[in-house]
Amino acid sequence: MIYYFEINPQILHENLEGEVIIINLTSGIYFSMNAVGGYIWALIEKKQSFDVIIKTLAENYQEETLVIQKAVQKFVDELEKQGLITRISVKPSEPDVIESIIPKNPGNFVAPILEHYQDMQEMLLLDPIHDVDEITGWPHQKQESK
Amino acid sequence: MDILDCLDYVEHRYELKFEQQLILRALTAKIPQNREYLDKWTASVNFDDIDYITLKMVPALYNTFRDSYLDNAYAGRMKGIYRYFLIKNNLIMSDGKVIIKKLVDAGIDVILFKGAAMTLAYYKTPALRHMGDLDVLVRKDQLKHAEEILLANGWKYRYTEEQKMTYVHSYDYINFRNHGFDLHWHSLYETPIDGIDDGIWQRAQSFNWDGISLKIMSSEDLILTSMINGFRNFLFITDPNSSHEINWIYDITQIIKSEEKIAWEIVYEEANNRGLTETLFYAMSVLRELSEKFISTEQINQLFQSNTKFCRDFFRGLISEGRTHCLNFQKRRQVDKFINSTDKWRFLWRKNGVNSKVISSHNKYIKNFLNSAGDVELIYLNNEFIPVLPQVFDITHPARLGKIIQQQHNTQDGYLHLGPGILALKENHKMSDYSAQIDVLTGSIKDKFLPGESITLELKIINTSPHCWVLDKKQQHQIGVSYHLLSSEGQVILWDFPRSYFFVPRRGYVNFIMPGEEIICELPIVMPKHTGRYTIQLDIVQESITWFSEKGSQFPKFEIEVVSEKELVC
Repeated sequence: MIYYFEINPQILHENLEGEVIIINLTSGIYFSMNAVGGYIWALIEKKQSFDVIIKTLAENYQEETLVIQKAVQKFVDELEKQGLITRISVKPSEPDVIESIIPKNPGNFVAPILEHYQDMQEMLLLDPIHDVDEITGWPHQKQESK
Repeated sequence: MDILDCLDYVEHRYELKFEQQLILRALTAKIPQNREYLDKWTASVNFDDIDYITLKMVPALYNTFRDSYLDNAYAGRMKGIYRYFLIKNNLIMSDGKVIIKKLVDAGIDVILFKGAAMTLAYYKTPALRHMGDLDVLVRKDQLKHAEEILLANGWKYRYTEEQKMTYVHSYDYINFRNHGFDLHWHSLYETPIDGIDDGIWQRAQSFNWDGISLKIMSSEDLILTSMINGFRNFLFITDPNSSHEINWIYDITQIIKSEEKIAWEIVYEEANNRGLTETLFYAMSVLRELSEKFISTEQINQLFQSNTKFCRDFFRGLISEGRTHCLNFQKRRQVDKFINSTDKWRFLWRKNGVNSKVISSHNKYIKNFLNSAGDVELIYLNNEFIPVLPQVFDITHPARLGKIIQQQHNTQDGYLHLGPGILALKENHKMSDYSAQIDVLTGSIKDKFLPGESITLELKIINTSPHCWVLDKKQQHQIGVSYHLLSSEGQVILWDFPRSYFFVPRRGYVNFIMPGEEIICELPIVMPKHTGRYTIQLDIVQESITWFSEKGSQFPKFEIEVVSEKELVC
């Protein structure tokens, strides 16, 4: 069965140079994902079906389709569990063009990962200049300040 | 009278730090100059030491340059700061949206303004516009209903009920997440007058915020409120490490960039109606100094040209404050002729000006001669200042100073001439003794006042400490007199009010009050808006450091009562 996805309207999401940031404005939980997760999210934003997502990743990565399918399934299950998306069977309005979501030569396929940060209030108390890792920035704490 | 044509420069207290100018230029200049400014900023700051005002501008810097590969040393943390404000501001907006929907559904007219309005109308993402709260304007007759809705939905008033009595234009509410909701019934603190916002209501534009039909302030009113709010905050800076706010300047540049045309005459008229013409003039000057593309000399001249009273008062103010050095020399006679109504004002170049707040003082002066780079080349130091010299200066070359004193002391003009490299003004202006005396000379402290009534006291302030009070235009530790509002039981209702500073500005001078010397100045006091018994407590402040009363000095206080007109007549 072909299914699609709907992004929860209570979700704020933004793509920062390939890094996808998501925040559930109701619960205040903050999510981030790795590169492959970001591509999947971008395809979901562009209203692509599960099958098209698998196909797109398989065309760009040197990995078995079954491996990709299992990893993506696990990932979208997690997105749904966290209330970020809803699975729907009705095809949405005309899907968007999906050119150049995944760059050329994206490297090896790495399973998509969704990280979440529960304690938003505590994270927002972190000094975004002094308490954070200098390379990755807030909300990643400096090792010694954890 | 084209006011700007008569000036070499506009002297105002809103001095932006060099790093702040670089940020603003990095954000507003054209490619590739903007990149040059960013690189200069990166090279000139220690990122670990940036203040909160600068921090608030980092998301805009990150956003401006990320597509062109932000590769500076701070890129990682700048991106993190962008994330930080993206999430923080979105949470504030999200909570605010919920309660605004309830207000609108209950039939309350709402105008969104300040940060939230700027975000929705111009920035498009909350990451770019710091906000501590959401600001909405409601009609005064709907205020009570709006408050009931807030309270019923988990919001509570931020301060005490006693403090609430003294607020005349808005109430601050917070929710369980400590997010703020500023409920205004007047748009500006400076003008809490019924009907003053009628123009704002007429010009407000309909806006649909995710299905909520509300209004947003027009671009002209957003510009005016940004300018007035931006300029107001600098009067009350208490953190010695902070600078003047600059986000209001960036806000206005973004409005101007996005709108086809700004009706500056509306901004001007609204400011004029509120008695805020002078603040508008200075705020426009700051914007013009950033770039004439935002507002030109011609536009400012045109707006103020027909306001003869403002122009005359402006030039007379320069004279009375001894600040005529900023006048264009070639235009001096034209100005003199323009303002001449009585002989009193025909002293454009007289040496000792009279400040409208400082009536007379025994201020002494040290004159600095600055070179074109702004460095001190020569100091004229009055001989009688020598005993207190170590209080005010770090002596960087004691041997040389000793030699100069030997050679020059008791010269005819009574001054030492010191070249560079001998003295440096102390950075730390904390004193060990804050003794002072305030005598009230004139001005009536009656028993009863009407709400909002204002009086002016003439005060004599005496420096009874062994310390020299240093008053330097550039420093943030200005010394001035002010007052506190207490309840009749002595509890603080409102601590901070406008000050009358002792500094008498003269370009290139540091001035100071020696031990034992006195200043006579005026202090305007505005009575509370609500009836009741209060205590007015006079006090002296050294900004960013301390109130003199906190260090043991005791000053006059007055028990007063604010009554209604009816009660006063009876």
